[in-house]
Amino acid sequence: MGGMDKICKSREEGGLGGIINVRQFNLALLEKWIWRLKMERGLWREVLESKYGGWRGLKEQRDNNSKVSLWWRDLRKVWRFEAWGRKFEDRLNLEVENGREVMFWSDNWIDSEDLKSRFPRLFSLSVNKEANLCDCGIWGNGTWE
Amino acid sequence: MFAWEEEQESQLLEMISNKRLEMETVDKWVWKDSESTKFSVKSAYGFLRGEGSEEDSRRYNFLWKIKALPSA
Repeated sequence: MGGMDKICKSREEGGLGGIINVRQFNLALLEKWIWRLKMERGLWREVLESKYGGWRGLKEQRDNNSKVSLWWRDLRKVWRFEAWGRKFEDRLNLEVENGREVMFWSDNWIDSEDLKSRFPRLFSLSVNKEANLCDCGIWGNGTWE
Repeated sequence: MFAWEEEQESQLLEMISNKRLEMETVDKWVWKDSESTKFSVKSAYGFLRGEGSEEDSRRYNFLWKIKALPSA
């Protein structure tokens, strides 16, 4: 890794210049899959949704049993990978509007911490643990009632 | 509910009480490292290389002009 970093520097900095760091480039390409999992619709996403729980399934630290594809295990590693103090998720923002994309208990829509970690007891009492934000409470004119 | 649970509940309600939803607009993911707000491999790679500024990333401009097959 150290050698690779050196080579990939520009000529002025003592490297060979213009050589791609394939490890980092591969990481960036894998990150694109996570983005697509979040953004795109379609059968491929539905399959991954039901098999692994979609992009939210990447957060889970399940043991590496053989039923999980190598590609998905890589994506999990990418999800956890931290560069310059920031993980993939830290480089993303969710602008909450109608709340359809947001899971009330599991997603960080209000704070950097999700509500199920912050209020574990209430989470265990809740009836619908996978409720979307837009289905929680009664929304009248966009406010809680 | 026990008293401490009720306290938790009121804490939670207070937290969410000033959140408003816009039913007319859809939720949106925003990629912070790119001006377009969309993810790009270019911006992700630049970030991993530790290149914050546009100037730095110009060194790799050749990479984005390679005539490659569109992604699968």
